[in-house]
Amino acid sequence: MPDPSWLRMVMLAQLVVLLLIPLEMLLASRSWIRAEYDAHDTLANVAVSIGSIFFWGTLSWILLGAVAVAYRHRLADVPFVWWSLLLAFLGEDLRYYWWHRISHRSRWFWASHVVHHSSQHFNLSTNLRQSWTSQFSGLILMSVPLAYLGFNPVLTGLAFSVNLLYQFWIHTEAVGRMPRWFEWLLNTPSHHRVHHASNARYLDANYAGVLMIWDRMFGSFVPEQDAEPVRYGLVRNLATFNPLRIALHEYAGILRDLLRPGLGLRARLGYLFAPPGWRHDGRGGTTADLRAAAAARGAALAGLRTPGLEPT
Amino acid sequence: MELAIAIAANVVLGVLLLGLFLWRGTTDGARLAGAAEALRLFRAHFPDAVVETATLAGDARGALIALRHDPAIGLIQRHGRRWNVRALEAEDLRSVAFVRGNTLRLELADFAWPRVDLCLEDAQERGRWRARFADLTAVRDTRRLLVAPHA
Repeated sequence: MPDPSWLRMVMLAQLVVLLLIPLEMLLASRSWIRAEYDAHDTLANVAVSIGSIFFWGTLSWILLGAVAVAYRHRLADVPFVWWSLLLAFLGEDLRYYWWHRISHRSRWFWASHVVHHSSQHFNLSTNLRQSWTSQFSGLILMSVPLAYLGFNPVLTGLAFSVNLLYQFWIHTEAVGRMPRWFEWLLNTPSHHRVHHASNARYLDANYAGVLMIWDRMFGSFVPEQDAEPVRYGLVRNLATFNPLRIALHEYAGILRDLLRPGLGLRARLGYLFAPPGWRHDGRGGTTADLRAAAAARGAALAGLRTPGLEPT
Repeated sequence: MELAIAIAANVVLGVLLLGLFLWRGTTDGARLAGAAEALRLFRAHFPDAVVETATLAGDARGALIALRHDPAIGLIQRHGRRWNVRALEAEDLRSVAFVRGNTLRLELADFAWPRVDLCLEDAQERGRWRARFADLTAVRDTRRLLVAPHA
């Protein structure tokens, strides 16, 4: 069993890194580093964070209960040794990758996760803008398999906390590119800027928590291009700093679509579970649609540049 | 206990950040430099749209974009230090009205962008946009929309 003081240390570290937010803001205000802070946006992030912690804490029994049941019926006993720590970290990071990917690819889960992407700014305070509904969207149950396999929930909890702690520093524009080996292996600010972009080229990419290898293995890696600066936020951005609206806006959108008159069951299920942007009449703006449109534009431009096809 | 500590830490952080913003001063946000900037912003979000003209709001914090061969209407509005850009279709609108004489008020069917006020000082522009919005909402089939008849 890991010493509970480890968990307390991780928690303390999470509190300490919060101080990096005012530090980044101060350094940016003196133009010593690249970062842009907007007062309304940043304070909205803090307000959303308070709601997120409240709901995460008060509803944590859902996750803890499910994991406890799974662990009680575990297949094996994974000992607490160095390799099990490594395995727990790898397993947790892989779980995070798929949790994150599903969160982006199905609207019901996106409705929870979209909160984190709803700012048009990208700085350390963006970390604070987290979901209020992650405990009951259902994806939380992805934590169950590791416990069922026999990993002690305290161990996986530690791995999860380390994963989240790592992700704090990658929410910044202050860091350009890390050394090549680092960029290949690990998640970095550059990779994560792409993940927070709304440009068609960058949508639904770079889901990794810590290890970038998952994106490279599962075909979701997209590098940041200097020629195409990242535009942060959503395809349809929010015009509010109200934390309640930020936290629940996509659910309101789902409800509105579900209540459209004259829809069949298939269409209603589509509005609930299909990729964000899907529409029953085919006029949707899913990532696939937006990328296809961008590719068509690129092809048209390439055609114009082909010798003999220049416009006269 | 941990929950209370985490929430308290965020409250303290919020107060600290608010203090820093007040100390360092906050900008009043962006203004559109002109129609060309409004069109550039719109094209960046909707590269396939064929834009015709842009009408800036009186305070340059928003703009309406007329599109060629498309009943949709482009909308730009300041959001802090960023811009929100949409191509409004009939179903995006709950109501359109002119209030206080020269302010175009759009009620949107969007929980995260419920209302837009754009001050259009030029009477000709007001008339043009009233007609455009009337055309747009005319294509809507079932829902009713009020376009106020007075300027």
